[in-house]
Amino acid sequence: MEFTDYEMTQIIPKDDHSHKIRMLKNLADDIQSQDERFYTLVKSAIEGEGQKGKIAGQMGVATMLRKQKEQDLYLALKIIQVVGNFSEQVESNKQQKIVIRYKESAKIK
Amino acid sequence: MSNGKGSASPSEMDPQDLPDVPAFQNEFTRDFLTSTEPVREGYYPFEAKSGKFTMDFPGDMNIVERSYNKSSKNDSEFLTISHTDESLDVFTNIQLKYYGFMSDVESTKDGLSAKRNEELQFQSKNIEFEGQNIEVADYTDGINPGFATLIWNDNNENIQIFTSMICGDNLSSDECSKLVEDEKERVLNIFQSIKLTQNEGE
Amino acid sequence: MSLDKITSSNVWMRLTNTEYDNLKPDELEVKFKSIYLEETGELFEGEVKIYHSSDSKNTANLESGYDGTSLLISEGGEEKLYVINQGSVDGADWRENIKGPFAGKSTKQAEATKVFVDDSKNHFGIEDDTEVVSFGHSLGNHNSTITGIVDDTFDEIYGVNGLQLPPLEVYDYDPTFFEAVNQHFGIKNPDDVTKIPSNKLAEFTKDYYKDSPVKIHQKISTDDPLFAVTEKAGLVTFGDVEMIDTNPEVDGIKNLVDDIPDDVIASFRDLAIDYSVADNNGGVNEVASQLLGVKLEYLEGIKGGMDVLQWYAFDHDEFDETIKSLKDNLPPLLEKVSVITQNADTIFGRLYEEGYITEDQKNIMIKEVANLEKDLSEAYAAIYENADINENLNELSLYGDYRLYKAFQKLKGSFTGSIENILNSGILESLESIKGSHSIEEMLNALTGGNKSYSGKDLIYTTTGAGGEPIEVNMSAALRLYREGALIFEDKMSAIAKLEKAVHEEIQLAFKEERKKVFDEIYHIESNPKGYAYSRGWMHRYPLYEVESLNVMDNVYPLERADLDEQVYEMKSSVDSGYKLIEDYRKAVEDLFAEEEKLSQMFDLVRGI
Repeated sequence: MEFTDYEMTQIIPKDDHSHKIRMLKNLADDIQSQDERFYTLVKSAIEGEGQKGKIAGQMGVATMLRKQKEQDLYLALKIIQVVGNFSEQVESNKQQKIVIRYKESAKIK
Repeated sequence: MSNGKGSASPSEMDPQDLPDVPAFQNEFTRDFLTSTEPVREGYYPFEAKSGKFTMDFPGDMNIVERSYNKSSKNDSEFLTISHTDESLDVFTNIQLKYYGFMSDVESTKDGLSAKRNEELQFQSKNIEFEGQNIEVADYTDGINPGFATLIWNDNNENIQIFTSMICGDNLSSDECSKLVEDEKERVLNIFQSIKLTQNEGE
Repeated sequence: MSLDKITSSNVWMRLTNTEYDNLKPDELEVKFKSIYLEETGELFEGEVKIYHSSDSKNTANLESGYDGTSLLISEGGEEKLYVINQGSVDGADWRENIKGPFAGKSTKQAEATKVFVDDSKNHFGIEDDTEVVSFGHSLGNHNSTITGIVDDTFDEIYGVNGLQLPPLEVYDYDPTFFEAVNQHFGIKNPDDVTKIPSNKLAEFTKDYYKDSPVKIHQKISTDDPLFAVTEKAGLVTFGDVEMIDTNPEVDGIKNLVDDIPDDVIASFRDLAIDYSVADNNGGVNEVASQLLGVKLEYLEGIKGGMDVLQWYAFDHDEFDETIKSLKDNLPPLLEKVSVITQNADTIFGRLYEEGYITEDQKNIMIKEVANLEKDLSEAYAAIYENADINENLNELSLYGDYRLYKAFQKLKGSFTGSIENILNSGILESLESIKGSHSIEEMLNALTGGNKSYSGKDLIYTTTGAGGEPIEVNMSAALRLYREGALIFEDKMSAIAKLEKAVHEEIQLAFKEERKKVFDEIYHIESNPKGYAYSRGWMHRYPLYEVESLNVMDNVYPLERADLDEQVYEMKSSVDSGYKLIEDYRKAVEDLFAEEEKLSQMFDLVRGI
């Protein structure tokens, strides 16, 4: 005689992946600090202009700086999301449904 | 300091009780003297404010307050020492600078020559303190007779001194030369008594 | 190209001005090359090595407050050592540093200059005969001139609004000059040198050093307040001197100074120095406490006579400190103020006539200076009558407190009130223009005509817009933007690449790895069902039955929603638009100044710095 049973099994232990957020965020910070450098640089050029930054205004400098800022902010959020999704999928793969097939013991015979 | 007879340092004593010599009667100079007891006749124990050197200070000379300078870390101290009695046959001025550092002996001597505008020829003299050297160079040029002195030790501490003598108007040049030689001897004795003290233990 | 352009143009003055910023060596090198490009239109392709006095132990040991930078610059086989001597330094010693030379007490700065030059030569390992050039502003010029003419430390000295040479200092510094002065003026005792009339001593000094081999070139503003007091103070000017009227709106402070008695100038100078130090640190309270040497907060809590006693009893140290400072500071301050009060009509009247201050300001000053004097002398009298300090025991005895209380009230209320009125009158801002005439910036502007000018440390171009309105462009900043912008974008690109790589490794590759582990485990489980079942306790879960096989359902999915591709793409395009932006900026600037032939070349070259 045979029959089957099912077990939802954690086949590999759980892991914490949040250190990846810190790691990627540091790299995002490096990008952001370049944007900040550029911001300071542009500011000194604009402040030097009479006409309250007329050339810079025509150039769409403000739009660009704003865009950079948004990108930086969004990147930080996105990193948390990406690591979160990663972690969720990795962890879910570690849980598997196992079909256990039982058979009558030979010893009994 | 307790090498004097009394326990009080000269700067704390009543001026009337001090030796009746210019060095003690001048308030600024008195501050450098550690005892009223002469180390030899006419000379009193002197200690620099930086604490970096001592010498036998002549009772008939003063330290000029206006020219005095010292760094708070005691790495330099500048003094001008001068006679006070203008009727002396030979009147001596000494410009002395202590430095707690030196690049090297030769360039220091070059520096002294540059200040004198002449090629100074230094000669070594005896000094009784171990690890300490003294060299002097007579002026061959210039207004007054005199000599440059460099004292240094193994620790790169050094003292640079310019000494000049002015003869009284009433002296003939021969008399002047002779007296200047005696005076040089006397001043050199003072310089030979200079002791750089930094290396000493407590 | 040669090193000559460093001294034949505005390069050296701007470099000297920049030294005040205490930049790091690599920053200063970029600054030097930028200035060189802006002033000459050429890229400096030689080599620059930099050494700062704070790295020279021997210079620091002198504790002179000296601050300088040496640059060993070589180009096309030519090599020179340039030493920038900083004028006045901030900090506690600033006042003494600038007062020192007037009192003949700053030989240490000259000494430090020489030590620093010697140390620089050692540091760079250069020959003794390498040409050494000094740049100096203000006190810096004084330092290099002394050691220049006495020790031949420099071959050439360039000075702008420099403090000139004080004979009394050289007297202590140069043993040969010492003897010459003594002989010429019949002095034996060095103390007597102060008795020589300052103009006679100045005349002699000038003659004595007339054959000094050092070449000195000076530019001095006729409006520079330091120049105004030079002659009165008996300082001696050397070298070829170019006088420049840097503020044509006023006649120059010198006319005024010449009309005012010497002792008044001295008092005024000291007060002005004290004020400028205090003003850098804070407001009215700070000015008052600098002048009085007392922390005014201490006086805040005093309400009535009783409180003075309480203060005395409970905050003895504070009380003690206050009274002592007042005793030390009041008399000299009172003396200075009263000299000025006595001459208030002349001083402020002449300042008004010369256009430095308004009539209102003149009247306020005359009134408030008189009030100040009155307050100070009353406070002084009260303190002297009431409190006595036994110097040896550092103890204070107090008699009768009411007048003392009144004295503090005076200081707190009326005194600060007067100072406040003076500050509110705007006179100090008006007098700023006097201070401005000591600056390198005003000198540069006076020397530079046409559409170029300077603001702070930057070069400004001006043109006329379509509507006739002036358009100013900070050319230094524009070039900086063009050069550094590109550097920043390079850095940003590599930072983005690093992030991309990290995401690939930490997310994509990591996921693959994790997935592989899962498959491995599944294989392990399925190929070893009994062992696994034992370990899980499934083996004999049912009596008479045992596990025959295990089968994992195998729900393993590929990774999704875990990439930064879109962000990376956007950031890369933002770098592209950044490059485009600085190109557009360059083009806009070039279009505005189409007649400037060198401009385009400057933009081309600036990235070579």
